[in-house]
Amino acid sequence: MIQKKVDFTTLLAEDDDDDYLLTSKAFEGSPIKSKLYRVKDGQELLDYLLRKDGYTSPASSPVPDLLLLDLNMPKKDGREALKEMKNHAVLRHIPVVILTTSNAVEDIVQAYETGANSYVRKPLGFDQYIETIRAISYYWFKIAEVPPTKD
Amino acid sequence: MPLFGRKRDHGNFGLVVEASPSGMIMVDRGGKITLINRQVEKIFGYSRGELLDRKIEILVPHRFRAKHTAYRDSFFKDPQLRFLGAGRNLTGLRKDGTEVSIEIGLNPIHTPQGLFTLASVIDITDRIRSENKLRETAEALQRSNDELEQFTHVASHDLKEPLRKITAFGDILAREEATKLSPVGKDYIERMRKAAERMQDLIEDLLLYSKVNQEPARWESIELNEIVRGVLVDLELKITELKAEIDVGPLPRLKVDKSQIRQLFQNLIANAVKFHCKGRSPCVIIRGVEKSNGLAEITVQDNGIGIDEKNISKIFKPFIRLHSREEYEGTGMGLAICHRVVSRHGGRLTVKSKPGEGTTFTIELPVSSRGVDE
Repeated sequence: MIQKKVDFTTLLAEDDDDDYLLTSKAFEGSPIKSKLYRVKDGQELLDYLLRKDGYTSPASSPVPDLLLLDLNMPKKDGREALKEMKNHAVLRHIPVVILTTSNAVEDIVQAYETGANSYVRKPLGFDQYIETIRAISYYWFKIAEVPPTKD
Repeated sequence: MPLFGRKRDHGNFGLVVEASPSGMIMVDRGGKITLINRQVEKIFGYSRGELLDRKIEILVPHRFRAKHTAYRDSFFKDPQLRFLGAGRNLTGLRKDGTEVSIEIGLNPIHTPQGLFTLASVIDITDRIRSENKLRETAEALQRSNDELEQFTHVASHDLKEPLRKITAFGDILAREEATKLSPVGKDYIERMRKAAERMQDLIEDLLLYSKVNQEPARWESIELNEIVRGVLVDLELKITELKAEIDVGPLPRLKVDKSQIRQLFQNLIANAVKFHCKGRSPCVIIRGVEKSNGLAEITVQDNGIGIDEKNISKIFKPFIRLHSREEYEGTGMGLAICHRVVSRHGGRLTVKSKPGEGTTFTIELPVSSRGVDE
């Protein structure tokens, strides 16, 4: 029997400050509490997950239970970062939800092919934002069974 | 019949050849030049004396000479009149070594001295230059059109981004800061959010409009009745609310881009219901016939407010609205999208209307449309 976690960690890979603000506000309004950490591009994301550079401390950069990944980011974009994660023996177990403005069919298809666990468009209004974050949290933290994270 | 008759009349023949606006070269069975006119001197830069009795291949660029000799032999074996129109565009070699684009017509001439070939030669350098110029202009135009389409597409995508944030932060303001605002402040926020919503609709429609030409169409065989049924389900709320009556006759089977044609009927039927006369339930009649010329004609007729004669020419243009927002909601893109969809299918969309009585849109579509881009 797997012990159910009570405190959750979400990592948001998002270059846009406004979207970070909206997402963190939406998390505040969600009944399922989760600590939110943020990286600003694909390179930072991999550094964080691989505990490189400024991310060596497990206390300040814990292994996330869920990754919210934007596709269009500078340096290394979300598509490349996802590919590298899913090719990594350990990182591939982290559930990835793509959170993007793109609704291009090729992006959706490619994301799932690369191993994304879900694909969600950034909602238009803030009410929908809250609704979306609430639904994602509820599903990934309360319903889905996921591989245990190692720290 | 050969141009100059079978019998050779030396005096007149020479005059006619000399006066011809085309270059004229007579060649014997062995390929030797026996007669030329002034035009040939002008085209190739040789004097008469330099060409007479020489092999015709002197006027052919080196790389084509071997082929030309063989071609000439076969022509003499089976001489057939070849008119200029059927002639090929060829390249001639001038005395100064430059090449000239020419068109050639061949004409077998039987004389007491045997079979000759009279070739008429036209310098088509200018024609080719203007053809090229025309093609280049057309290509440049196409390119700039494509770029404009591309621009619209990208711009409308990028415009959505900041708009999404205006909406979201407007929402937060209204949600979390409302208690600190005066009624006037709340009203301002409400106006701002409404405007953002409207802009969202405009951008969505602009995207839809540019998508009609941007995305490759997928041609598939569809039952038009099925498409219309789907549209009516989507519009059910409005139809019930307005007690609209929609009468759909048997419609033809078409080979079209399904999503675009669905959009077309969605817009036309939604308009027919929307622009109804106050106090009169909307009644929409949809009929279709397949005509003998490979075209299907579908009409969408309503009993609505109609369109004033002077506005008819405007309605298919993007962002044209004939009514205030308070009277009728909308972005003014609906009919522009319709028009584009029909053109993309190689068809025609026309309208007849009487103010106060109703409007009829007529769609002519090729039954098996392969569109205009293939």
